[in-house]
Amino acid sequence: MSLLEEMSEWVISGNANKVKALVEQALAEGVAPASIVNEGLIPGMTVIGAKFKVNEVYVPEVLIAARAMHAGMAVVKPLLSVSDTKEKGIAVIGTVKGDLHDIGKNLVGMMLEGAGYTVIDIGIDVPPEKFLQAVQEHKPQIVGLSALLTTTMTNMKATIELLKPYRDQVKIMIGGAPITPKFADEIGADGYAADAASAVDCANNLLAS
Amino acid sequence: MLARERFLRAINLQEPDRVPVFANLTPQVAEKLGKKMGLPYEAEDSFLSTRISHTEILLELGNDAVGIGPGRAISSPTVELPDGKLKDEFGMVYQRFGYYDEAVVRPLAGVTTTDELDQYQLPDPLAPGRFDLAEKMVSKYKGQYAIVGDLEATVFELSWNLVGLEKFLMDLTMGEDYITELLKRVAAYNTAIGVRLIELGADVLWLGDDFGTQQGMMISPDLYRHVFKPLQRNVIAAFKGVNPQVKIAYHSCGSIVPIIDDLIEIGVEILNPVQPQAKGMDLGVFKQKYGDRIAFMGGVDVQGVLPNGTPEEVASEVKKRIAAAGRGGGYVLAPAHNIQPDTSIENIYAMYDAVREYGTYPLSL
Ligand code: B12
Repeated sequence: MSLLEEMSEWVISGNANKVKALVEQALAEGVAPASIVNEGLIPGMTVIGAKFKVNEVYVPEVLIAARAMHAGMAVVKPLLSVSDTKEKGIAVIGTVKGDLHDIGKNLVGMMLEGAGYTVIDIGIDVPPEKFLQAVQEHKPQIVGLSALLTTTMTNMKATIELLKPYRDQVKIMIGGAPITPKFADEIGADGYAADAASAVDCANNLLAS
Repeated sequence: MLARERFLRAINLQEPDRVPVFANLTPQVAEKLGKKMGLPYEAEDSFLSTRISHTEILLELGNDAVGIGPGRAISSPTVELPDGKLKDEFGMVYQRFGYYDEAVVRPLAGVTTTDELDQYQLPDPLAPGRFDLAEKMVSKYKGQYAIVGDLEATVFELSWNLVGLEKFLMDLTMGEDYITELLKRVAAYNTAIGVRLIELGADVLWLGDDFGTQQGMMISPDLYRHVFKPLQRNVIAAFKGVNPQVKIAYHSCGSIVPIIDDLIEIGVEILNPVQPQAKGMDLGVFKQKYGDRIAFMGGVDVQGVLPNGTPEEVASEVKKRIAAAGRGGGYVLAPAHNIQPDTSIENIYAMYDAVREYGTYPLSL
């Protein structure tokens, strides 16, 4: 097994210490930082996402895999050149106003990051104005809204309306337990995904279109 | 037939005169209804407040059971802090977000070892005052209504609430020692409370730990079987030891298809709430597969028709659920969660009316 393959395996099994050590070893051996990210860390998260989607692993395994990826990222990130980091795009994500459910949103953020996006997580209970501010400030290509409650889903619509002036620059995807593709259509979202791995596919498709 | 007999016959897998009902309300819905009906709508001070509050309103609507549970100890009521947040006896601090009070401080958020855990003391389960309200409710309603003792955050949920869900799940998966110890202490705490509720006269103990999400289990079935199942088995055995007649209900939101056999094995007799839009949680299929062994309580969709449908659609939802699970008894109609503030009063009335219309035995569905 190559060093980078081994790194992926430790991401998959969620061993942060091993991942960090292997990243340091790879750097010492002269492996390019971008290769460490793209051939070591990201493939691990891709595997975890695919397994999560088919219930082969569950929420805790995704959380520890993401933690392991972060441990590696923290070491290589400062070494990435500007051209390395600009590749995929920026995603702003948050849970809408009135809603505190954050596990789903966090997993989506982790998988997007694990797929090479720069993720700006603006938290829970996020009012539409704060999404607008984040769009103005970070100029993302993707905005992801999460809602787990029928009482807060309506705040997705309000957020999308407020972002109207920016719709030619950002694609909006939504998700969460009560969300359906039909609802996404009705409120004018660009995309919907039922789980964190599909959220990455959704973001990729939106950027390609 | 008295409500109590109706409820007990149903959960004993016999046909009563009609399908019993057991719903709970969020404070906003209770206030709307209470004002309309001229009944008190204040919530009780308790960890699981909505399950034991608003009793008069719920009975007037048509509930067949009364929820009781632990209140706060006299010495440690929930206090309002200078900044308006609420602090309870567990050391949890809650803040209001929109409709809901949610935890912003968790007492074990920084714990990593059993030694650190030892610095934290769970409240005294039998502290003076803890059961004053439950006693009052039992003496008022016993005999006429079924008494449901609520212990819905039995092991997993109360434990993760003290720690924070993400940290808890990661530490659990890494096999941290303090998790095992915390789970044991929380199980002991709730066992003591449940035993007291049984002694007071609960007909049913309503346990629960949410292991489901919309798409599937939150943790692996294996992890459930290794860590939580043995603890839950002991808790249930303790309750049956005090009174073998007491019935065990179990609540888990979301999709928990892989562990239903496990729950039945450890003594669960009533499955709740069978959240209909969660993957695989199909009341009709479950009735076929498990209906000779357990009863069901729930089924009414709170993610679609109850908040968003018309009263006619609510009525046909009720009819559909009764058709799926009502035959031969074994079914208590209930919404899949406490009724949320976006639900109209008309829809709530429509739900209760429809049970009377379609739920009368012999069923003609
Ligand atoms: C855990 C949980 C809680 C925890 C949340 C802890 C936390 N830190 O998040 C606690 C206990 C705090 C909680 C509180 C409440 N809850 Co809750 N909760 C759940 C539960 C059991 C699981 C949710 C979860 O964490 N899933 C795990 C993650 C991984 O899944 P997910 O969130 O669905 O996310 C995935 C996808 O949806 C998607 N996704 C999510 N977001 C996004 C965003 C984008 C952009 C994309 C593309 C995809 C995407 O990808 C994710 C990963 O695969 C659900 C049950 C259910 N059926 O979902 C109820 C549930 C959501 N809760 C419910 C309710 C009612 C509440 C309360 C209102 C209860 C009350 N007080 O009355 C409060 C509200 C709190 C608030 N202000 O938000 C109801 C909602 C019903 C309704 N009418 O909508 C549910 C459905 C339970 C039920 N039986 O009906 N809850």
